[in-house]
Amino acid sequence: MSGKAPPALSYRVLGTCSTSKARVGVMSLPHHDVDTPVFMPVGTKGTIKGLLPQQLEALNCQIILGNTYHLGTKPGIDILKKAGGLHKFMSWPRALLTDSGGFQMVSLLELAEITEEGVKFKSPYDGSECMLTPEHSTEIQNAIGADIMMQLDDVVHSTTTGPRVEEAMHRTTRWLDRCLKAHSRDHDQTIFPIVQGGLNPSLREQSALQHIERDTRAYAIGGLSGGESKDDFWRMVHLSTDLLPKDKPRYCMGVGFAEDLVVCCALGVDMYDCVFPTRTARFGCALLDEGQINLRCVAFEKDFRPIDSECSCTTCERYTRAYLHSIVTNETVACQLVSVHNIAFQLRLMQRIRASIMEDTFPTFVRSFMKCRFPDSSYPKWIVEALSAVSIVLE
Amino acid sequence: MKFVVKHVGQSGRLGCLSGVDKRLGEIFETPLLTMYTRGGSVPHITHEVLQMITKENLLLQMPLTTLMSAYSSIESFGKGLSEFVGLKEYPCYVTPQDPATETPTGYNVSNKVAVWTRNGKRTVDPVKYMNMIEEMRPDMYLALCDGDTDSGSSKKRITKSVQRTLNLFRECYRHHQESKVLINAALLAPIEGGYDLHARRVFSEEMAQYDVAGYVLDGLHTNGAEAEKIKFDTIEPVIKECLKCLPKEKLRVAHGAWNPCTLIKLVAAGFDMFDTSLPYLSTERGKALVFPYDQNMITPNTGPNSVKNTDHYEISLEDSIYAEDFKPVLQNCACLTCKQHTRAYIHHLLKSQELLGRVLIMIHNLHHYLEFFKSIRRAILNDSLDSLCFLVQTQDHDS
Repeated sequence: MSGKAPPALSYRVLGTCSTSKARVGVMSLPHHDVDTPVFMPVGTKGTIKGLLPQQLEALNCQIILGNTYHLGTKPGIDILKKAGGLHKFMSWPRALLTDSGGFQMVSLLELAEITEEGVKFKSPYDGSECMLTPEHSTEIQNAIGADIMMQLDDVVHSTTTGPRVEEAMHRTTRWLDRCLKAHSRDHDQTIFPIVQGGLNPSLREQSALQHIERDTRAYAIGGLSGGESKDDFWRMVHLSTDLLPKDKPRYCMGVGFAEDLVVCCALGVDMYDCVFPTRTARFGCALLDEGQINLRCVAFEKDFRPIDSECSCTTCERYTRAYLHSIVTNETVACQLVSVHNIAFQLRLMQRIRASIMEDTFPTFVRSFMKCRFPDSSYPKWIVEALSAVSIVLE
Repeated sequence: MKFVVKHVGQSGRLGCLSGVDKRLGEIFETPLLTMYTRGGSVPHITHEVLQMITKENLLLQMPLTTLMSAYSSIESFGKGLSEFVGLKEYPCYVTPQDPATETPTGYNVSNKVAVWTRNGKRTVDPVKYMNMIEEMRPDMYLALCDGDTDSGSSKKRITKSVQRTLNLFRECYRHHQESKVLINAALLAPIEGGYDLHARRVFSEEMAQYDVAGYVLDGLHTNGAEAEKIKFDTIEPVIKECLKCLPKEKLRVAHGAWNPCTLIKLVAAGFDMFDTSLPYLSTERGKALVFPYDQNMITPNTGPNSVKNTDHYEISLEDSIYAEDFKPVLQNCACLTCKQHTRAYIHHLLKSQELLGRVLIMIHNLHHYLEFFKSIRRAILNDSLDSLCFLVQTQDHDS
């Protein structure tokens, strides 16, 4: 008899910040071990902005995202099944996460309608009526085969108020139960429940508690990063991480701006994703600690420095701002070069965060990072408040 | 830069280029495939990815049309073109026109040549051209020329092309002789004359008197995909006429997206240097090169009896027949794309307008052409260019 196979996700805390809720951990998944806190680049259609899997590995990228809605439409589930799952289809040996497909439907398709059964929508291709149920979303994600799957949740716009928020919160829990029941690959895929409840603290709390009862391997915080005020945003994150078990990873969906990542790490979040770093690269925007620069600007015509002299990515090692300025938006190579840098920037930021937590110097790191980003100390109020809620004081 | 012919076969010749500043002690074997670039980069291929395709020496072919918009940056940078574009280890070769993009015809005037940049037309005279060349410090460059002729050009147009090019060349030549910066740069002379044998002979005889590193057979097409359709028979008389008059020890260059068959025949006629326009154009239309260039790429049951079709050297990966095809682009191909990815995945990427689709095809197409050139050099040594030509026309791929 062989020993019991390891679970599809196990998480171990390696170090914690003695001031804030920040922590470092390692999340072991079937395809790779992931160092947390982690930023996960988004590869919507099974690829990230012209980069080869080898380049992503060289960047030390341990996990990336795919979007169920897009992949289900093209190439379609049949082909993904025949290919043996998304890992094989795109030749990516490391970890993958897929969303439920629900968010894209509600945001991309005007005609989506949510019922207890699921998300009803008109196919953008032939206009026929389709229904994405929790069972169907789970089945598709099982076929895609990512290490991490997301439950189908009832998404309401983050600024919605009133009874719709409460309805969505309860329905999300009911849908979670249906997803967990339909899940056919619990041995090698993990479903993340999504804490909902809009901007209402008591609904958030109920949602978190209901999900905690299900005793899943990890949790996500959803329904944020959708246009709510930052003041509401951080309070909801703070409240959620206070409730969620400390021995399980927490994923805050759709977060990717550098200052948001730093604050959310202080609040105890472990995983993030955002299309921003790679989407913005296409338009020539490169990320720096100080903020972002647009390489299209004529100011870079004779700037022979790398994007970031602190960065050791293959772009900064070799290419100047002036050269990138000369090809940006004209040659696809520019998009790849800036994407490499932007992913390297995000991953290096997370690496610096992890290193400072392990050395228990995280508050110092946060202060120097914010000082660099807001040189005249004009810190946004929400950042000051969020950090002071976890005892990090900006001077 | 120095060119030496090492071996003359029954058809074709082997040689080597050496003395490149950036690659001291290293040589480039001819027939040589230069790497076509746009804006200084191999299309779709960053330096990081280029290293995964090949670690070989590469001579980068840089069309001025794709660089001129960045000229003021290049000028202030002051360390030359290769370093400006982030590829300082690679020598570069500048040409006025872009072999892979059709040049609008009818815009050259007396001593000015139209250079079509992404911001529209610029006119360049020899003084301006040579000033730019001095700032760009290429290892090799072609003199400014009016090659605006093809098989349909009138006698009048040919006469103008010849006259203007002679004048342009003489000015460039004089400037080159006087330049201290360009002492080690190889100057190539254009050979014009359209399809007029007399004009070709007169022009070639004139050029043979100058001390240049080699000659570029220009004026046979106006660049872009049209060159692909050219059959060797139609250009053979012109080529024979030119080569008769040119010194045999000098480098001979033929730019453009020649189809593989015509290219082999150009090699057989004695040409030494080409570019990767065809792999690029093929990539742009979503197609992958699959023609065989080695006997081992032919399965025994096909071979002599299989279909011959000179147009089918590529397969269209956008075609829905590849949607569920989990085979590599080309069986037994050792390129990174074929070792790791499937036709189905590339089909999906192309259909989704994802950048990686063309990156993967370009990796394959460049690898395919680099290997094709190795095969060409072997064939010259074995006097088997004829059978190689026969082989590349064998349609053996399952498409």
